[in-house]
Amino acid sequence: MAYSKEQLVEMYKIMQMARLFDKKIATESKKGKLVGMFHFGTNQEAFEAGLMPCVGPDDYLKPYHRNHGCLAKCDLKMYVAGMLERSTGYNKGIGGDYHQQDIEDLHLLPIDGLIGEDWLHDTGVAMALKMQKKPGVVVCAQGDGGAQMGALYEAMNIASLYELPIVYIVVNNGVAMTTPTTKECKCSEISGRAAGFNVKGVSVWGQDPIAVREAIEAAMDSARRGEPALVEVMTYRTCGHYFGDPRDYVDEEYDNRMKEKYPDPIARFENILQEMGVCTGEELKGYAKEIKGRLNEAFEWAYQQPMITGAELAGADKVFSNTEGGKL
Amino acid sequence: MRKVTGAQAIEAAVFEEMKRDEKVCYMGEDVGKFGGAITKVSSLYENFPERVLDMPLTEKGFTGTAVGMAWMGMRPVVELMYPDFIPLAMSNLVHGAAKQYFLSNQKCPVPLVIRSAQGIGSQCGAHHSECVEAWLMNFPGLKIAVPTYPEESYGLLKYAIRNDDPVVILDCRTTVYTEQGEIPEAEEDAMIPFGQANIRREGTDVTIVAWHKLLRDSLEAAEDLAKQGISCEVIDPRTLIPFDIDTVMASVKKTGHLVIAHEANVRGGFGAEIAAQVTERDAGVLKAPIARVGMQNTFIPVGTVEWQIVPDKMDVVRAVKNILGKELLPEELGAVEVDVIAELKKARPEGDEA
Repeated sequence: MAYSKEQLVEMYKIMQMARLFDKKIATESKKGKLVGMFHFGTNQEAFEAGLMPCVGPDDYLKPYHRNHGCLAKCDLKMYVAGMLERSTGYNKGIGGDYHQQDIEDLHLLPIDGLIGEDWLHDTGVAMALKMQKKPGVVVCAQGDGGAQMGALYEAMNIASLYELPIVYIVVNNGVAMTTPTTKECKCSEISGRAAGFNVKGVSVWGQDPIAVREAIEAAMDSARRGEPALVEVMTYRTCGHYFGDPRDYVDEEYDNRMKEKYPDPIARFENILQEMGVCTGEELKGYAKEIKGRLNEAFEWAYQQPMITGAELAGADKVFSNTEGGKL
Repeated sequence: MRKVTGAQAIEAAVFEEMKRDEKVCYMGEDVGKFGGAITKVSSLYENFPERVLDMPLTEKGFTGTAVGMAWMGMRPVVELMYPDFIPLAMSNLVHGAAKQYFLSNQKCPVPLVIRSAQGIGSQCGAHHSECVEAWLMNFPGLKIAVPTYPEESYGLLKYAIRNDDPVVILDCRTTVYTEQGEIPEAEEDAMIPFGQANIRREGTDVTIVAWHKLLRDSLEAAEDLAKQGISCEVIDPRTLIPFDIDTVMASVKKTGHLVIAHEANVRGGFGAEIAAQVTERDAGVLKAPIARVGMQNTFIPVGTVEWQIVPDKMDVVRAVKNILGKELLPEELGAVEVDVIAELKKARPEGDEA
């Protein structure tokens, strides 16, 4: 289909947000202003740019832990404050960088720290949507590592049996933590496994946001009809597992081959937008600058917010909604 | 009042809650037309077919699915055919369900009920006979109920379904068919709130806290001991989390002696937690060391020999007499003779030829 300039620019901005957010974390960490473990998704940003425009207000999204592009769903200041342990941010600051959640209002599902366990919880959300006759589709993502968990296969089986409105997304970025996908599984395309559950599986080249978007849109249409689907986004992560990872375990030959196969999606999209006469180079620089400005503002605001304290989190009433009946 | 078995009490409780609230659904293996393998609940599927979800053999799969459903405000009751299967779903139960209220900053309660019947009685061996309450008790965020008699199976299950927190409710394999009891007519508020122990027998010499098979055994032991002039107070805690320590403390202050009896293994069992709570509060009230009765840190083999592996009435008698410094009668040295074939027949649903 044809896309308007507005739509194309939206996708471009999502990619830049994903990358610039990662860069901002790196800058702040180097300044000593951030502590903790941060996982980046460098070179796989076209996935988020294709995904986020598909997710409507009735839908539920479970991003994975390299998804700063999914911030399009959040208030940036609230997210950064939440990430920085500030009690005025999302989740009052206890969610860190990727466990922030708000099911009821944002339709943002929690990412389980046990990678791949949440395929099932997301399937339950889809079951609830169906049983409660609510509109909307659940879109849940994991990496190729998370796709090795058995939970995905029990989940697809149940989704298929109960004809649930759910789309499983596997971001196959060529490496799980430090292990190349070739050492995780023998299949060249994980999407092929979906057929065993009567789930539609498709693999899409993940450096083109438009291709990703169309694959996810088609999968969501199918899910709305009660035919769950799996989309495998083929890409390559060019950064380490965490910020500061020296990547000295990477095989150079593999790295070069993958980089050639999966070129920088942002530079690629910039060329296309300019060649097609949609945007000038100046305009594109302007969008990036605008995002940097928003990021600086969000971090500055968040630094001024109060830190969460242990005392605010203590007590059985924080763990149980009903505390009657004595010692809990 | 209605006279029912534990199994019938469970069916009545879920039926009435499903009728009252369309958010309640029942899911598990073979729970549809077959009505579930252990406690028959056939009326559920007959009356609410769209809310009784027959699931494939994936304890992890359907428990994890139920967690997501509960996040969305549904009230799933998950039947595990045997609680031995809980480890398959442990990560979803503890990370997905138990932690969610805390991690969502109290925005997302998880009204999930996991139910199963535990312990020996099926002669099915090591993978179908475990008592699992201690596997779960170290996780904040889970409530654990242990009904032994039909009144409790009914009242606690109703409370569990209406409660907004994740609950694991464990019935007892050896009493769920054999014990009859009276439950209220299908009225709205016939619930037993959590955290309220039930003093099943009053006494003055020793306090016995017990549940499931060992509660039945303890009541029989108390009867025997009464004939010898030993007065036992027998307390059914009914729920372990929350635990009614006040009722137990009041009793121990009166008797000065405490025996804790459960079918689960002794080491790290819930009995250890009760012993710790009592001594932390007031060790001075104890006139003798606390005694724990439980399985001796081993496994249940297949077959009728299971009755010889778990503790019985005589173990309770010996524990009581030991802490009171009383001599044992010759017949108290061995184990209770069990008619294992009769027990097996009793422990099967009506009409089952096994």
